[in-house]
Amino acid sequence: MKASRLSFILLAGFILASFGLFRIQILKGAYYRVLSEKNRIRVIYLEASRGNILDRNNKPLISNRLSFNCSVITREARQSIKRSCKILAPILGVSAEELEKRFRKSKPGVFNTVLMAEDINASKAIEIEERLEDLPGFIIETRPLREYPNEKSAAHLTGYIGPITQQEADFLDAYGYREADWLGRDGLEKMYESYLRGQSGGLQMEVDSRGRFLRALGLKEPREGKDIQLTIDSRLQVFVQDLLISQKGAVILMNLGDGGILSMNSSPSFDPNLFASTEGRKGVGKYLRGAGAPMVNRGIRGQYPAGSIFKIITALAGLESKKVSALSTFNCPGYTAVGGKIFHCWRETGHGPQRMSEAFAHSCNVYFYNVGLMTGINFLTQKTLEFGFSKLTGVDLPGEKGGFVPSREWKQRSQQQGWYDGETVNLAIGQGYLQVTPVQALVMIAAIATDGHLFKPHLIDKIEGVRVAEKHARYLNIDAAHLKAVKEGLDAVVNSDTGTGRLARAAGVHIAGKTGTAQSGQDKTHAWFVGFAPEENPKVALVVFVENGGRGGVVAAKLAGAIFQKLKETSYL
Amino acid sequence: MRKKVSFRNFDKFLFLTPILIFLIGILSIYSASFKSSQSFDQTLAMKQILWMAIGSLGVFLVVRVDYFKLKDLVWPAYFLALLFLVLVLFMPARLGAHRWIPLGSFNFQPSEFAKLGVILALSHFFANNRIEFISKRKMLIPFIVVGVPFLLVLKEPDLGTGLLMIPVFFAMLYVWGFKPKTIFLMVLLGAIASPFLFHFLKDYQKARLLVFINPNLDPLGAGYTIIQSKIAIGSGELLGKGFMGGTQNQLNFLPERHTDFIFAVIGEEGGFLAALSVIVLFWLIVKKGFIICGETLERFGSMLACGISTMLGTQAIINIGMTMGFLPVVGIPLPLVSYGGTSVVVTMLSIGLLLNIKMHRPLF
Repeated sequence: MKASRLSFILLAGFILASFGLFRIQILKGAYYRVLSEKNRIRVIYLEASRGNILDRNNKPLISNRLSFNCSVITREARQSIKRSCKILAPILGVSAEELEKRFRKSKPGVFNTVLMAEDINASKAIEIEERLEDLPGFIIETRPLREYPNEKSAAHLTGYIGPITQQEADFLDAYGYREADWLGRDGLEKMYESYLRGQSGGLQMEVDSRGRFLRALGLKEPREGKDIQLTIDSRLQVFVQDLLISQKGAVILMNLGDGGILSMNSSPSFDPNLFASTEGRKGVGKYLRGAGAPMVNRGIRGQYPAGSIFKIITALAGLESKKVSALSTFNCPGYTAVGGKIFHCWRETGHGPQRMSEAFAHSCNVYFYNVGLMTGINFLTQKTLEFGFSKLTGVDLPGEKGGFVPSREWKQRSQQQGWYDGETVNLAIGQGYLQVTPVQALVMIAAIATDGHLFKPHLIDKIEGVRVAEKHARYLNIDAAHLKAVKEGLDAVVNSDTGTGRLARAAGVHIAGKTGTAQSGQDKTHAWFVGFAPEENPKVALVVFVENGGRGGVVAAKLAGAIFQKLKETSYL
Repeated sequence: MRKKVSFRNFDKFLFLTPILIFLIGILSIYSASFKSSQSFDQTLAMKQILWMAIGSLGVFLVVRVDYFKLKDLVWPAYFLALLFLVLVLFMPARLGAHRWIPLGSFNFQPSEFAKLGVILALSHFFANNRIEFISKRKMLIPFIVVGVPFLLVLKEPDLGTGLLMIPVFFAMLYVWGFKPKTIFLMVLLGAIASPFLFHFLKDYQKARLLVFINPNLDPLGAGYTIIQSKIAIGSGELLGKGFMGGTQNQLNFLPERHTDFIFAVIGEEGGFLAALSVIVLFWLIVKKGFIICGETLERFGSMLACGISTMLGTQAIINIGMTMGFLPVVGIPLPLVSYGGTSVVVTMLSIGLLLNIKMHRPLF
């Protein structure tokens, strides 16, 4: 009894639902059918523009401009496509056959509009707009196009974008990505994808039989991505890239106040603008397969022998181990014998008796061979690791490499061999197994400049005007006297009359630094310079690395000098 | 006298009707989630079929044991359901809600399981206590039995499943012996309290309810789904646009179209005939369930049949009503049709229980 009463209540519900169904499908069905009919409803995809990336002075490193695309709605255009293509051909300057071919390439059953001509200029767009009545199914779409005003100068920072793959689209579906989306592929575009990316929208509209807008049925407004401000100064960024124009290498400048990167350059470079459009991407093969690996950010991904810039670590390790003092003197006859092998100084005639500051100034190998041997490999390895080598610095760019620091244990494990003194000697001058990235060298010299603050460098400063970056440094407890001794050496490198880094001098600035000339295994050596200024109150640290550039004291130091000069002009120093 | 157990009493009709609904569902899911790059075994439809296989297996396991013996499992099942409901709150949120417990590639949805747990627990309590003799204090127990999972489900938040417990509870109270007047009074009280409760809802839930009251309030945002769904169903007219022919569906106008809005796909591609068939098939199951409820003199079985039938019926009506814009979008799946493993398995287990009651009920 009760059960049948309950079932009647539910029956009433089902009957009401059926009536509802009858009403919208049978009584009003024709109306809804018209709404959903081919020629009456259109969906225009409204792509949200990605956030801009600005430098510290609000100059854009990445922005967007509005572009016009001529697109076509397949199912509306199919019938009269031949005629339409003939009308369009002279306007677009493309043959009618080619246009038809583009149309045929469209995937059937997919609603996406088909791109007929990308990024056409405004006058052509207007011309087409005027003739749309004769071009059923054709539309002019506006789309934000990514722009990189600095072109090659900041390419490794900005990275580039690329169209999503089918696999990624499926995977990222839950995050609102769809098939035609583009996403960050490298650099900051990739690193901050989740902030930069906007939320795309769509407009569903009712149009009349001639494709004219009647009313909007549904609109999801696109939401722009967030703007990101960097610590980069684009003046420096462009200036340095011009210096590197005919070189392979990397230069990074860091603000010692907060660890913010002022500029980060890698050469050779590429033009990210090409990657931003379908048409442009046809020309990127030269970069992807290009000689000199222009896509690689050498500053964070290149791993090289450190050469003489490593003597900074050797000296500090020697001092900290108490085996040597700033006044310890070693005689340099031009070579030394270790384990029955002869190790040369770079100056064959020798430097004679050398103290630490002289040894730095002359980059005397024999002096540092001796320091290395007295310090011992274990302590040397330990100090090297303390300065962050072999680990990522954590700079906010994707794909950073960690380099390599050898140790006695590593050698035993990997080669089942004991460690030889000859290898200690090699490590002491930054050769042998050691591999470092330029950004690691920068963090090291910054730690010396700031009396032991090991920075985590960063590029980002603000997201949508909100500061997100802060100084992030680990303090290394190093004896002040030892730091002072090393700094005296670094001063002598640049400022003494016989220093190897004299070319790094700049008028009106007191600079300290160290040159490096690293054997590359090829004919030409790698040239290094690490330094900071002003010496008394360091504000900026830099690393200059030139791949197969020759001597550090010539090529790298000269570049550093020019950069210090520019830093003075832009009042960073 | 107990009747001897045999498969002869297995109600084939009650087993085949859900299968038929399920098949309509599979076609719709396939159509709704079609991607040209996928082979059939990668599709959601294939996954759903696997879940149905598990569910059907469950049916045959459930009917083998006298449902009476399941009584001992009622409270363990109920507390297990509660445990899952608590656990799920600690799971990472997906789409802003803690509704799923990830188990490998499968996401378990505890609220589906909890619905059945609540019905079992209530049936057990109502069967063992007669309303005429119950103490005031003991009277609170059924309210607690429903209240705790209700609040936990709302916390997820899963408004739809939570609200669904209310009519089921009322129907069972009625069968137990509550006067209709008392139940109406409770509904009235709830209606008066709801503006205050409204305050506790999430913003998106508020938006959905407000849009239901006035769809023009936000035709671009929350109203979008309803507009699209109505266009889809309406444009199907009498015979539909044919399998895979729904423009609303295929052109991605319909959000959540393989889950909560699957009925819109049926309406668009199958037309009035297909959509009405689904309604009729659901009614047949519900009717059968209430016949079992009325004919079973043993109280546990009778209560269980009432709870299950009400659950399936209201869930179908609410889901269908919401896709047509007659009821607010509260987000509950259409049983057996919407994509979702837990829902399919739990629904099939419920059907299994109905079958079991019919086969094993003691006849006096």
